[in-house]
Amino acid sequence: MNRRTTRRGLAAVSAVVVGSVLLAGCTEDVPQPQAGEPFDGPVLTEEQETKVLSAVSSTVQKADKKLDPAALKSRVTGPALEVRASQLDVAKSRDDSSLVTEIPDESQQLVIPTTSTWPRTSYSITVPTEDLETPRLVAFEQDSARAAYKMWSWVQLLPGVVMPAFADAGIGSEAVASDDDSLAATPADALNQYADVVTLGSEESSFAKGFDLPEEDLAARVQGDAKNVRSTPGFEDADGEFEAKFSARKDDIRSVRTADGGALVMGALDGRTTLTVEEEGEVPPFTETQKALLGDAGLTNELEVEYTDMVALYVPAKDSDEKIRPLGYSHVATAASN
Amino acid sequence: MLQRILGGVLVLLGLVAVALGVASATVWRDSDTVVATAEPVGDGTMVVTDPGVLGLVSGDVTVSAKGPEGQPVTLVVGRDVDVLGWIGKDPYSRVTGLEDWDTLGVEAGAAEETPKGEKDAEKSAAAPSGADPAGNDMWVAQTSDDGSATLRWSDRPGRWTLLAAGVGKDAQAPTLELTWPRTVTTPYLWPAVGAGAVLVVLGGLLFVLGTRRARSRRDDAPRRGTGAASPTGTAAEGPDAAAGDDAAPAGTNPFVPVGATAWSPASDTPSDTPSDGSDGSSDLEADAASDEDGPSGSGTAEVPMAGRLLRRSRRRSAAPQEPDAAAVPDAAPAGWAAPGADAAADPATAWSPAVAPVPAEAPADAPAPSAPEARPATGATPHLSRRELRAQEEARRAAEQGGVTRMLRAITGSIPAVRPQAPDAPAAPAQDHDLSTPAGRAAAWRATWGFGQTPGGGSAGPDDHRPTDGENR
Repeated sequence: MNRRTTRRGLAAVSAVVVGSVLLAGCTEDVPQPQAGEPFDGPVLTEEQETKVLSAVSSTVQKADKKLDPAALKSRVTGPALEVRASQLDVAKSRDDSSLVTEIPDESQQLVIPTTSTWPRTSYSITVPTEDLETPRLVAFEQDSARAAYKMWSWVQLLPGVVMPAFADAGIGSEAVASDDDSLAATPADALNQYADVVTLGSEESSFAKGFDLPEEDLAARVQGDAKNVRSTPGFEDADGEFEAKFSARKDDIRSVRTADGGALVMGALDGRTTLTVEEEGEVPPFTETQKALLGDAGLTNELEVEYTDMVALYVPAKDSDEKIRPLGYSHVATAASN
Repeated sequence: MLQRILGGVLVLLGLVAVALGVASATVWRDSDTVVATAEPVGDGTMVVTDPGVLGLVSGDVTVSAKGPEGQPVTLVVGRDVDVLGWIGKDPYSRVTGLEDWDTLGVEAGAAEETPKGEKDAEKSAAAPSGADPAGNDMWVAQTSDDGSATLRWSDRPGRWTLLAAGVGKDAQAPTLELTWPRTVTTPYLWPAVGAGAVLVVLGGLLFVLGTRRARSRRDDAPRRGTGAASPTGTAAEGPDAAAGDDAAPAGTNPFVPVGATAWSPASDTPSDTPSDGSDGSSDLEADAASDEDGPSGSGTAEVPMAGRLLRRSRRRSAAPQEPDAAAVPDAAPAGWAAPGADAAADPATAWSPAVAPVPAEAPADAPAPSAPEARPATGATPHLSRRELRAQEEARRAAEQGGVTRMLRAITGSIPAVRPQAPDAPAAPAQDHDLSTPAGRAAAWRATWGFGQTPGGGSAGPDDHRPTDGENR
């Protein structure tokens, strides 16, 4: 009896001891941080990108309202800044902003890169404008980590153009280097070739056969303008000479992969048209923009107009049967002199 | 004694276990939140958490950053590459995780090796210190305020990183405080309380058992101990002597007169029985002895059972150790030796009539020799007489009380439970039946079960009850 109770007592004692040890052990170990999977998706969510769009849009609208090119700088950069600033200057001098390109802030498709370094470029295809102009394809760039996304370029899509398919914004699209050789032509080459086509026209350019040129393309536009100038009454009589020269900027190339392995290439072309007539002749500016750009300067027998053209091309993958297709352009005179 | 100690220890342990269990769910209960702080180290105006730190304890975290008074503080959350890209080559403090539940581990952020193509790293490095990350398009959450800022963040998949920056010229890196809610469980409460309760019950049982045994032993002890001088000692042997020694010299033995002489008429040869029946009837005797105490005292049917149980356990414990003591009658005489004196002084006591049939010579003889013996006993153990007085007083009261009260008491059984020990003596003569004869056994049986007591009990009862009570107590 006594032995049994002793044993029972011992058991109870040990139970209590174990219990208190357990109690003491309830200070659990602190958890260790578990780093999640590295990010390989889009650098921005659609929400963020939408915010970027509206931030850019509001900045641009403010600048438009004040016709103050300086106000653009916080959200506009690259060729877009040049063109927009020029447009605002022209609008200011004309006191009419009707020629300033309207860029809707509402997007119908976002193309967001997966780049983990900088610069990063995202794209947006806007809805058609209120005047039912074709949608714009806008590129936004974040130059460095501490920089904001800024509108880098925009083009008006060609009427009836078929846009290539892009990866969903939630998945993200790979940025393509300007010398990427997985394409029918590297983005840089494609732009150079296109500049040649624009300069010479589809009939004379040796690169034209690599392009699938729609009717309302930049090349057609430039060639059409040239034809118009040349067919102006008295052009021949005045010994008129018209020359247009377009070249691609080497650094202003942004490309992003499309779903079919091709690439969307956006770039800038520097254009220059020179019109000269006989010594005694005078060359008036052909457009309101040129007129505004020219300002008060007197007319001479020479008119030189500079363009900053932003273009968008679709460059198919190397083994594709497709040709390079222009998707849109923005053809804006940014300087004129005589 | 060991039992009682063990019991006490068990009860104590049980209480402690219960207290621990309760404390684990109250005082020691983990806080509902985990609050950990990070002090920035080294230069720099920025503190960055490693991926995973924000969701360390739970998905929801409240981050507050405190800088010097008036210095703007900005908190942002972004992807790790974005945050580190934003920091560039600037020095910063890196929060690596929890060091303990209150402190976050902080290291000086190593200037990351510039990844290929990160042209801007140098630009970032050239940026003035105290740059404000607020407003960058990359952040998924941000907040800024003067002095201190607070940001709530619900963790989501991916390497999300918090950047806290002191903003402005000569800015200092803020101190971070991360607060997570936590679901607190009390897994030890009920097990501990349950185990504690079991321990308490076990211990209590042990203690009670131990106490009973100890008391019963103590009850024995004083009789022998106090009586060690003479009365009890002799008394202890008394019955044996009375029974075994042919009880012939009844007249000489002070104890015999009452016990033996009283009954000698009934049993012709008391001398024969003991030798034969001493062993065989010892149990019976013990039973009778015990029962005689019990039932006669209670005057009810229930008590005998208690008495029996009690007696049995007592018998069990006592038997192996002190066979002599087992025979409770030993004790009884010691008890009644004293009352005997009183009885002599107060001839009108209830039981005297019962003894009356015994030839008057016996009392006549007895008082003289017994008195000297009894006196010392009472003197030696004054409490006995006091007890007895009390008993008498109570008996008188009980007698005065109506039958209803008594019946009530009988029903509730409260009397036996509370009655103080009373003189064993009166019972002894009445019940020291000669068990060797059927009539004696029957008498004992009747006495045990309270039959035949009631009529006489009216007069003799009160005193007769006492012994039992003493046992039952």
